[in-house]
Amino acid sequence: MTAEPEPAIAFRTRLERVQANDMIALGELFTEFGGLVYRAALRLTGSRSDAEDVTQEVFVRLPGAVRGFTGTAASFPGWIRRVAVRQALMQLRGGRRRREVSVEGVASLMARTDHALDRMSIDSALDRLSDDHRTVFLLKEVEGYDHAEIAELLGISTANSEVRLHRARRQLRDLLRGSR
Amino acid sequence: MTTGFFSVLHPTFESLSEYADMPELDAARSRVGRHVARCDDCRKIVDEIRRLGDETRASQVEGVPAGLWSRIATAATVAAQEQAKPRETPSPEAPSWKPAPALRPTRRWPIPARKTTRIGLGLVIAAAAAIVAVLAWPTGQSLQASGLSRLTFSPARPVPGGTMTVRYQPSPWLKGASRLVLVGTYALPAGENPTAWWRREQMGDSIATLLPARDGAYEGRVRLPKDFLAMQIAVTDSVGDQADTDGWFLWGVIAGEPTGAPSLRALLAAQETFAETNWGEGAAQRNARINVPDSLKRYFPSHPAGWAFSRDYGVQKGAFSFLRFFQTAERRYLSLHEKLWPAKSLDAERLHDMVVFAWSIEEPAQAELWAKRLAREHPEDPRALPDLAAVLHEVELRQPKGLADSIRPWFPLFDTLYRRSPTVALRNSEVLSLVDRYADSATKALWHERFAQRRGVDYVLYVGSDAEVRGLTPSQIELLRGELGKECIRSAGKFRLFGSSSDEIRRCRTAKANATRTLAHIALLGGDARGALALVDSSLGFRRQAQRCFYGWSGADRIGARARLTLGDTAGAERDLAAVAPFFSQGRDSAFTDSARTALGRHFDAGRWTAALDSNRAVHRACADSAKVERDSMEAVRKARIRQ
Repeated sequence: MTAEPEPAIAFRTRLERVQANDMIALGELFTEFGGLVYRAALRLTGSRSDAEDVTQEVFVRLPGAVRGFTGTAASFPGWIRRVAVRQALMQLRGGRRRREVSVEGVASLMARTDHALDRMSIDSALDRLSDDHRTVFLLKEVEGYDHAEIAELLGISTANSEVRLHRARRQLRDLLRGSR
Repeated sequence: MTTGFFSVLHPTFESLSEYADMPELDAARSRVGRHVARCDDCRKIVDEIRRLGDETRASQVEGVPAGLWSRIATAATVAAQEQAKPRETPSPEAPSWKPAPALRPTRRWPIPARKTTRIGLGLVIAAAAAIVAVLAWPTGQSLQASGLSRLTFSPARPVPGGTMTVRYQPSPWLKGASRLVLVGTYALPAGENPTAWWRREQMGDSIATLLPARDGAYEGRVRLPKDFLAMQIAVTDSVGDQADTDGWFLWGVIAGEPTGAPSLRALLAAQETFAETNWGEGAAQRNARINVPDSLKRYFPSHPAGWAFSRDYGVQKGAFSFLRFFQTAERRYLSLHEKLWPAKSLDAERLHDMVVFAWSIEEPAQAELWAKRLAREHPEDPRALPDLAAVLHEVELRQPKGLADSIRPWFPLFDTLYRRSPTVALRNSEVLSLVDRYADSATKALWHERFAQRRGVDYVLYVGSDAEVRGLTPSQIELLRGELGKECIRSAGKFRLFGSSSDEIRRCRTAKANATRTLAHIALLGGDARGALALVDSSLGFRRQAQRCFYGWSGADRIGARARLTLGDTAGAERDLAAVAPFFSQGRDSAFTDSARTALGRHFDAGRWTAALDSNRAVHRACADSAKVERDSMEAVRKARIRQ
């Protein structure tokens, strides 16, 4: 029988401390993974205040949630990221999203110019997509989920997930081409 | 003209998007992969699609804000304290105390015989109900929605000139309305349906009024026109604020023959328009509840249309790709070819469908045969020219020796076909790019003028670069002026098929703003800076009417800034440029700031510029917040109605 390596034991111990509501251990996890959770939430919700709420929700519930985590230290970032994505989706589903950039019609953004002033960033273009399209695009392109997983997360069919992705890409391309 | 035209030219955007996600090996083996390997244009689109993902992944997202941890620590401590509180257990002496559910025995063993009989009987009944449910479950194509609402027609295949009864089970947000409106668009015969780039934004006609029935549903009768083929419909409230559709799609009705049999003409018309509205053929066939190619195949198996427009032949991939031939598409093509090619005369529809079918099984030489025959036998058909151009594009991709000499002799035929059918859609067609690459300057000028006429006002509204504005013809400038004279009001009897009809007024005002902006641009290039400024002001006025939280507009403000710089008003130019600030996220405006620095030269003041950006963003945010409060309260009212 091989002994468990030391970092793995340290990691397990830290999770046990988190389970026991040890705020110092939770703080250590926040220092290490807070950015990852916040960024995933910010991308999906598109709102700083929503991303903060999601991050808070994830870490407040972490002492209970880590009981269900049976993986290794290496798989923890992926696990917590998934938790963050699910929490962000719940936030979106609850209609609690606070959009910080106003949405404008696609057509009005198609005024093409040859000037650098009009260059739109991918983030601004993403902000102009509907929540449905944006979420599928980000889950696929940034979070790396496949359509079956996205379908399961959003409660839609796989085909619907594919269509949303195509539409998101078409609109993004139109927006960016319109501004470049 | 038709979606089929796009599919014979290049793969649809959806196919390219799907291709972009495929593993490399599968991608190279796919049909789209083989096309992309040879076609620069499609490769460029695939690159753009992949770049969208790359750019999103590469874009920096800000880190955790300061103070978040203290907020979390407080909340987590409170939660931990709640968890640690001892749970109150009722005293055993209390009169109402009973054992907790978990402590109560839940099952007696052995189960008494009478109970066993009851369980057995229950299982038999459940099994019988399951079998009935499976048998009664609707199969095949249904004309009903499966969501919150439902629309049914009787008869399901109405006769042109006849009457159709419509019954609508309303969605929660349309419940309780005193009347509803059935809105829709009629399909024209195949080959005549106009192409609309953004067809889902089109307006529909009021087809019938639906009145409440006793059971809460709504009913109405529709008298169909004598030339009725097919239509797509939605239901809206009486003012058009909210439309209900069949999920992502519109409900569809396809005419039948007086005998009740399916009508080929109607199905062909439906195939063309439904696929167009439903965002490309691929998406339409995978997800729409009405699969027209499937009906065509089932009822008219000897007609090529059903086979030509199908995208799902159950083709094996990877190691089993050699089975493709036996999986109907190629074999079916061969049998149709053997039957149809010897016929002395064929209608344009079959010829065009064979072109599409040949492309779908990747037989360019076969597509060429049929496209040339279509051009020869039916030069009046609007599909003849684009089909022929697609064939020549394929020749181009092979890059044979003396390519230009083999393409040029086709231009007189292009000209003949255009004259025979001037309604042909040149947009998205390969015609102009072939002319651009191989024709002499006079032919190029002739086709560009034709193209400009066909593009209409939609194109003129969105020109933006100096070169594009300089290239506008007098007739196009007239189109712009015509846009200014339009009154932005709701047209009687017209409704949006998707979304709210009030958006139409916003679109009209935005179009006016775009037209005025382009006229300002023309004035600026013509040296009339003051005239340009006046037009810019008017353009921004239209935009403010169209959009509540208007936050500056890169197009018009840029022209305004250029005009002001020409007049020596650098402070005004800076103000105009800074107005666009909310358009860019904070921290992502460096390119924008660099451009302003270049434009303003020595007059650029970094401190003043940053202050102006911050102030504009704050004003916009305040407006957006108050708009959100209003939207939320309206949404709450809507949700309350749904709950009721």
